[in-house]
Amino acid sequence: MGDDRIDKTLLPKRVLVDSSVLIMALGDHADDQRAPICVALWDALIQADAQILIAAPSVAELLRSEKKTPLPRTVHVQVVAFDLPAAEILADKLPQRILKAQAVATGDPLQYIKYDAMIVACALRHRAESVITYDGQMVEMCRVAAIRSNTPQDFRDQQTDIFRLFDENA
Amino acid sequence: MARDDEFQVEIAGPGASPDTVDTLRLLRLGLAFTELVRRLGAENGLAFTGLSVVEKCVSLSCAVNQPQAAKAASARALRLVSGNEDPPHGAETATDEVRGAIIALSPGQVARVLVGPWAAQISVPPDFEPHPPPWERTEQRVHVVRVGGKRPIARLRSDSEDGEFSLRATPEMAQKLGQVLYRDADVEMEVVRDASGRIEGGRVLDVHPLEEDSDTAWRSWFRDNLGEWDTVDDIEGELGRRSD
Repeated sequence: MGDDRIDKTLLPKRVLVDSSVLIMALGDHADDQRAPICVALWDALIQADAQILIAAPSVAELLRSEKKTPLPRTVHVQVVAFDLPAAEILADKLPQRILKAQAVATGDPLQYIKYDAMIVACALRHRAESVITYDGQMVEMCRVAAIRSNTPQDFRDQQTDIFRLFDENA
Repeated sequence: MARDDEFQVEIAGPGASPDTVDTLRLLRLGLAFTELVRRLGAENGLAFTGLSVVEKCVSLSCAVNQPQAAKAASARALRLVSGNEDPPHGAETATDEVRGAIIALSPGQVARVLVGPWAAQISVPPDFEPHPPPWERTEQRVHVVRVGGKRPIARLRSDSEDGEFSLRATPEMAQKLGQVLYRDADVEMEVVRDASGRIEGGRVLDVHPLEEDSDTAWRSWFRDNLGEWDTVDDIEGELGRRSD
């Protein structure tokens, strides 16, 4: 995917990748300017032997029709359950009053906000170092729940950017 | 001298007197064993009446309408509780109730059943473990540290949990775990946690080995199952998200 390079020294060892980043990393979205960095990040995480977590609620979000084949079980990627400890974390760190306040502030439906909250709770419960997302709402939830969030661009190799700047000015 | 129609469930040993016995333990044992005997003797119309506490160690005493049937049912109940005979359909829970009541007795105490002059000790299998509630069913990526034993125990480690933990496994599950020993696998499990949230027991339900090539497997799965996302221009909008 071209010239999008990732600085592997910046990569966490255990990250939860949000739905939209996953769609751009694994799907065909050549028209979306964010897609190359998502693909590069996915590749770099695997090469760096990191653990990529996908929240089970994200799988529910992604599946639009009947699943044809079982989800892969692979060494670098794991689907993490929204289980009892995750539910307790959700109730503790992102209680209903906070979610309702966020729904009022953003005008977004509470049901979507709850989905975001379940994904963040999965990240906390399964000890992700960071949530990789483009979702502004989820970034705010990560802040409230005290877990780091990043966009894929945060891991871009700055040196590549400098060379690209030289190329553009040449 | 006991009457021929007297049925007793007795606790003997330290602290086993009418004044000092743990009331709930005595009632639990008496109810559990009498209920099991009643079930086993139901075909003969076995019935119990009355109740008194007898000071001979300490026992719950009642009258039984058919002493011989009560003795036969009690003898069979002893075989079920001790594990020498599998409980018949419908008596599994009642059998486990008695085992749980025996396990709950204070150290040094023993339980007995008496029908008239006949008496026998109520014993549980030496390896009996009560199921500690509540159970939580989950699936986790674990590293298989160790597995083995006559009654197999698996020692596992998960990045989602504090420290290592042990789960019981059937011989079939132990074999599956043995195939991924010292490696990672996805394990379906039932667990029970202590007050601090650490896993303190449970059992392995299934084991799933992992593929090595994450990239190929996930891209292929995405293409086969989620390909319609490729036609969606506004991904955040479709997900109900905001990318600001």
